[in-house]
Amino acid sequence: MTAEPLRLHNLSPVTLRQRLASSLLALDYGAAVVRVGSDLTGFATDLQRVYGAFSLVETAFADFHTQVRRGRGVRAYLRPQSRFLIDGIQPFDPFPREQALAHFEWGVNWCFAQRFNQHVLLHAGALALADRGVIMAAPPGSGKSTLTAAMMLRGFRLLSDEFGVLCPRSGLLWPMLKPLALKNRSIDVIRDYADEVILGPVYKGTRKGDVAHLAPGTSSVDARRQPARPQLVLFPSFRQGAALSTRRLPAEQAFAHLAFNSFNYELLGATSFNAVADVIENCPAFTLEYSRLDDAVESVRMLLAESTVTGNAR
Amino acid sequence: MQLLYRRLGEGAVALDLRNWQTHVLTPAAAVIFEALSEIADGDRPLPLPQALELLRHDLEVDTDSPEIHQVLRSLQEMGMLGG
Repeated sequence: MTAEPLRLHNLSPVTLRQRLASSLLALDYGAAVVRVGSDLTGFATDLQRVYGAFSLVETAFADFHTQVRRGRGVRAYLRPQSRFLIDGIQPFDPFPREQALAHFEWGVNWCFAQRFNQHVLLHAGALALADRGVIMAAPPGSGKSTLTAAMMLRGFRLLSDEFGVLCPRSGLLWPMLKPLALKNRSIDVIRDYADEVILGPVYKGTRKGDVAHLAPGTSSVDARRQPARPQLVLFPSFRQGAALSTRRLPAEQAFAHLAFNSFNYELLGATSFNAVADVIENCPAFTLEYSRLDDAVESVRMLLAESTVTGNAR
Repeated sequence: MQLLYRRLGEGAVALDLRNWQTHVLTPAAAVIFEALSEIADGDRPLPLPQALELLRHDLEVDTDSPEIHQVLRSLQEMGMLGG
């Protein structure tokens, strides 16, 4: 019998703050490990809420070394701020201190997008049932994150909301499991969608509107070292009042949508070309328009079951 | 031609290895690409008159249509066709 791991929500607030103060906290996202240090009490509280299911990781190695620190100088007293640092360098302007967690999340996303080029980084959500993966790509505002959250809350394993981490050697999708950033109306939609929703605080009036983070479920967290085989590519879009509809996309169009929305497709040349082509060759691709989340989730479940049998090129 | 070419369903995609530019080929463009590839001479661009001859007589394609002009322009950009 395996012992239950010590998770962040098991730590006392004092212990967590001590770990953060000493930069002894490592967050294992699956594809990458991020070490984080902080001297901000509010940040520690918010972090513990949305990373509560994450287990404590004792590792000397981390892919990224980050800090979330209080502002400096007189301004730090007049308008408290948080600063995000990677390897001791501050790449962005400070944020209001009460938005420190949102600042950290964007900072880590920036680190991945800039520096994680051993994988093809699709701008897509990724979920799975067992090891059968679904890639969901869509532009901001299309309802992708809302649908991703709903799928996780209805039993899909969340790999990532933002980065579809595709290994070019194996063709597998790796989890990059972070809290799911919900914006504006989708915050209330997801809060009301299931009983087990754990949401962080709502950060009002950020650069991306109101933002709140949905904590990944324990089953997704515990499977964050298990890759999935891509089986289905979806391009979802929410439209108020729309009846559920799906449309098969020609493969070359699906390739273009997926490749040209990736973070590093152009940087990796033939590596990313072949990796994305392999995905499209083996996965049917559909647009999916929806207005009711449960209908959309069931539709994805059915498409995934069918795609396992048929594939794209077969 | 320094191209990576992948047939995807009825269409295709190609990566130009000289500049890492990706080209998306419709089903019609993919058929033409593959037909011209068979008579191409290694990495050298295929002369346009030779390509037009093949399209008109072997594939019975209307080479004056705007769609085929667009395909031929794409193939020229990819370095497959000469002037």
